[in-house]
Amino acid sequence: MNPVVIALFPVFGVIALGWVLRRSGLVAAPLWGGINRLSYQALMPAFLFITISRADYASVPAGSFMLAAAGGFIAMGVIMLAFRLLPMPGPVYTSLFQGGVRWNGFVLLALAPAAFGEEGAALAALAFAPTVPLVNVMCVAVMTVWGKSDHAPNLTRVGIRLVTNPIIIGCLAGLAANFAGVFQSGPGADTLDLAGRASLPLILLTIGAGLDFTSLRARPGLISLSVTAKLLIAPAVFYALGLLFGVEGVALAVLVGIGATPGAAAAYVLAREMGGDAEMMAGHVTATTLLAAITMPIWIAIAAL
Amino acid sequence: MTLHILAVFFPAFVLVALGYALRRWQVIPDGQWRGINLLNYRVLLPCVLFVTIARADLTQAGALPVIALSAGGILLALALSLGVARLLKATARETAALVAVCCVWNVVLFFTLADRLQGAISVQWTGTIAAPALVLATIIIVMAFAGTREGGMRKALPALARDPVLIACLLAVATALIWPLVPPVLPAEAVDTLLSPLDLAGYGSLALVLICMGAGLDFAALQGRIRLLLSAAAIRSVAIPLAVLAGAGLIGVNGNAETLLVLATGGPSAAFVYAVATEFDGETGLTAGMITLTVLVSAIALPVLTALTLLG
Repeated sequence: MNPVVIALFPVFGVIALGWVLRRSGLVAAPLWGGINRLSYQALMPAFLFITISRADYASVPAGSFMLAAAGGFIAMGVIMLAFRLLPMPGPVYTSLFQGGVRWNGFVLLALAPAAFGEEGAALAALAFAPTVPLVNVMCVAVMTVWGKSDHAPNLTRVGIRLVTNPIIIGCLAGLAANFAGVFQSGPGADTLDLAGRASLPLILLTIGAGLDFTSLRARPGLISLSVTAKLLIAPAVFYALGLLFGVEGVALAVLVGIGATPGAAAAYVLAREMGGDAEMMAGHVTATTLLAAITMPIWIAIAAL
Repeated sequence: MTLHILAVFFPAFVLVALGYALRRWQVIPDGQWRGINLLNYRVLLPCVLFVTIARADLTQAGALPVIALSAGGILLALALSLGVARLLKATARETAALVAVCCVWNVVLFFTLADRLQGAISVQWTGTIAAPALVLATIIIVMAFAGTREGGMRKALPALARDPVLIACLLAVATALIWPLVPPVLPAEAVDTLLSPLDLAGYGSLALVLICMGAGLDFAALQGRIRLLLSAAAIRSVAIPLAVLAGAGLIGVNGNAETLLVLATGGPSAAFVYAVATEFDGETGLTAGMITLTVLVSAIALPVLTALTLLG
């Protein structure tokens, strides 16, 4: 069996488990808040820190990889801006834009060690540092122009939230530790390693718990369009940029993997806060999560050819 | 040696401390821990128990004495706690709490420390040690708490029948015993792939269970009934591992199995004892205090006892 498919099996298996837990009431919907908070605020930053601080970036084309990754998101932003020409209300358009641009890096992080080895996992983690703020700035800008919220968007609050984002802090601190050559081994690093390992299964469970199949009925035509942008156009764009920047081998496979990830639940939160179409966003995240189980291995296999 | 032992134990106990800090400073508010604990007890713990025990070779050479020592440790804890309760003239509800805390050791801490100490080779014994102890201990604690309230025993059997830890253990034991006997229908790689979601969810989440263990610590509950509290910690964290160590010497269990037996039986009490105490309206305050004290005593005693087995 294809190693990427084998690596994806536990990832989507745990996502399915999360959905079953919420659907069956074994862990009811309101109880997921604490799990979410602990995963994103404590465990995932620890995971990103330790993965990045221990990585050997001298042996991988990290520079061209990062340029291609950032370029991929900017290119997707430009492509999604072109969709504004289609007749649709502003709030709906913001959700279409977010659908094409936002990525769920946690799926790739969970898949990376088994599918790409340590080198690929380190690159996947590194991609978070510049792309999380980049994608957020693009989405907030679009929401500010075309979103429809009862209250004016508080850009200062959004800015503070970005600067204090634990994911970004974890990445940057890990990068600083990597450059300084500190905190890569010893009891402290082992503690972060142990804590960080819990982050991925928990986040995958919360992704599953957040799936909402009824939301697929909201604007099926536009959801199809956003899914096409996320699962077909984005990976092709990242692939093309990878070739353009001379990225190859494992790095190219990870780069295309970034493009091929499903949509992120953060898009739903922002749509709700800043006047987008939250239900359409939920439908997009659900549809891309399901379909990515099929499209991700295909795209990664194409990149590995 | 000292540094090696410290390196093994430090991360696990730091995570316990982190859990305490997260709750103490309300980084994760009180109400949100309920979902995390529920996920632990109903899903993650059963997942890790199933994959570990189902893969164990319960019939391997030398398994019988190890199983006997693991189960014997629980029965000895039962006998000692009942004896001490009688000596201290404890009430029925206090006795139930003492029995429960003494009989259940923390399986997640055991798996974490075993992996850190021996690496992948530890799985040769972890499932074999955990299976009999957990089955026995789960039955004992449910019966102990249920027996203290009117109609409790009627409630005990349904509670046992739907206990996720017990179900996972029994299913895993059945799988471990039956699977090798049936003709192979799937290649080993396919079985591993099928189990991989449980591996990822269960083993990946060990740290979460340690954090929750810390979040459940209650230092305020250490006030009052000091003799009962100290008895629980002495039995759970000192007497039982010493007795198991002596027993291992007597029946010739040594090496990795001996170290792992001490690591398991000398661990603090499991946090889910508190959940069972709550379900049966038991002495929750006393139970929380006892669990807290066993964590504190084990943090000192367990590295020392482990070092003893390694030196021997």
